[in-house]
Amino acid sequence: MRDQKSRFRGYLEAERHKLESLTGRQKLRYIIDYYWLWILGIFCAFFIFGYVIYHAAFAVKDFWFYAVFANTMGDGGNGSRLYTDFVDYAGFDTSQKKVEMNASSWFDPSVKGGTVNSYYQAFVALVESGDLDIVVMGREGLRAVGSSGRLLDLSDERCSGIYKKYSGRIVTCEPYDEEYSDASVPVGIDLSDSRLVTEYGLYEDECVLGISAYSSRLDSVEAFLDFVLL
Amino acid sequence: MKSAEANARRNKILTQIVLIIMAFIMLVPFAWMILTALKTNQESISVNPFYIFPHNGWHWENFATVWKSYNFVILYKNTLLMIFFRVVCACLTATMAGYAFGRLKFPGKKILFTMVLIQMMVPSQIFIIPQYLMVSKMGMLNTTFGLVWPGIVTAFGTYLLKTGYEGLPMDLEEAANIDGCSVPGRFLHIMMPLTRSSMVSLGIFTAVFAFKDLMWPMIVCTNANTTTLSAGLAKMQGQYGSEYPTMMAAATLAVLPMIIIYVIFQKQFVEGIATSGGKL
Repeated sequence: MRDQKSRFRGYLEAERHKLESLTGRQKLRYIIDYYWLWILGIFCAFFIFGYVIYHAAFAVKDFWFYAVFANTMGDGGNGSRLYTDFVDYAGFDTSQKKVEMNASSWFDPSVKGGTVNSYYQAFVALVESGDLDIVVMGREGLRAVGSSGRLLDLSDERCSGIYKKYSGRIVTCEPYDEEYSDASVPVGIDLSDSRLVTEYGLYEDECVLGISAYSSRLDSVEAFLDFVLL
Repeated sequence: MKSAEANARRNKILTQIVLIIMAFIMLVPFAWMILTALKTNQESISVNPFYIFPHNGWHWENFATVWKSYNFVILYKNTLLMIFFRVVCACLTATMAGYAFGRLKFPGKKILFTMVLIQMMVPSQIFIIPQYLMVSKMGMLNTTFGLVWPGIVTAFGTYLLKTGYEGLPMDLEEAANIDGCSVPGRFLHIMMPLTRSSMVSLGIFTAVFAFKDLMWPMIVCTNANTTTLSAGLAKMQGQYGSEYPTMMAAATLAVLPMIIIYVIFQKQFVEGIATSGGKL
């Protein structure tokens, strides 16, 4: 190590002597010719670090609300009428936190092979990461998702308010772990007569909302339910 | 003598016939895609298997419909940027790591390389959630950097380049060492240029996998302005699910960049596959 250090010092010394004997223009030419790759590398490293630090410091990272509307042909994505109406209704400041609505996801775990696609895997990744709040889809599809254990049990203490408020709309599914309990689990809220169907046309007839098992923004979920069931 | 010549000729003709049939089989889906893109929806769902060419004129407007509905310029730009940065980053990091593992001696080398190999052995889906969380916490969702992130370091590339460096004769590096060349100097000026073919292979593999990558762009890019061709096409599948001509027009537009890249780098593609022994 010490040997390497002294070799490096020697190298620097030799380069300094070389540069001393050159004119300004020659110095510049020499540096560009011999060190262009190092200069480019350092420039790129600074650019990348600057970019990452800038985004980490100033980008809007947290979410107010994250929804997936699966299997819909309607316009329910970011910037849609549903999006702007809900943001206005809930009074979310999107410069502070984000509202994300994804209406381009197609999966149906209730059919054979319905989980073997990238949409479902992307959905699972969003659930497991804790970013996703709700998923809206057809009744059977949602019951199948519920049976996989990825939806919140609505009888859970955390969402007792929602459960009581919408107790007439509860959709149940088979339990994830039948050894633990064989009773049906309440995982969905029926939105078939909601504005999602009647006003925004996201679904033709039935649709059910499920809350992600790892969602921590249940107040936003309640605001969304109030909004679509106005 | 004549019989041997006749045999050789017959074998050659047979080989060529088999190759022509194989080439035809490979080209049929592409031809079907392009022809369907030019049909009406009624023609495209016709059950008559001989209804190959459009009967009611060539409907070029299907391309215009898709082009207007989805901003293909943005999709092309995002895809090409992702491919470019992934290739650059993968080649850069893999060549440095490959040189270190293949040529240098340092403590913990075997353990570190085993960790690289372990990464190759587990399914890539396992890394999706931690990678998503990293990108999300850095505020990089819906950015090009977010798309490039999982491809910055590649275990396969490190392994490929390590093998490449190990295959080079020791004499070259020893001669440079005797002449007083430093480790970075040996790497940059002597060894790295000699692994060009391995780097080209890696570049090609990275570009093709980046182009085909669907799940990652779907997770990190929810905004239409930041998504890629593969994810954009997947979104169209829902919107135009039953309109096959429109879907096929979109698919034709989506494969164009890869065909152009292939035509330009045809020689390197073939060399790359031959060098790495892999398939795309």
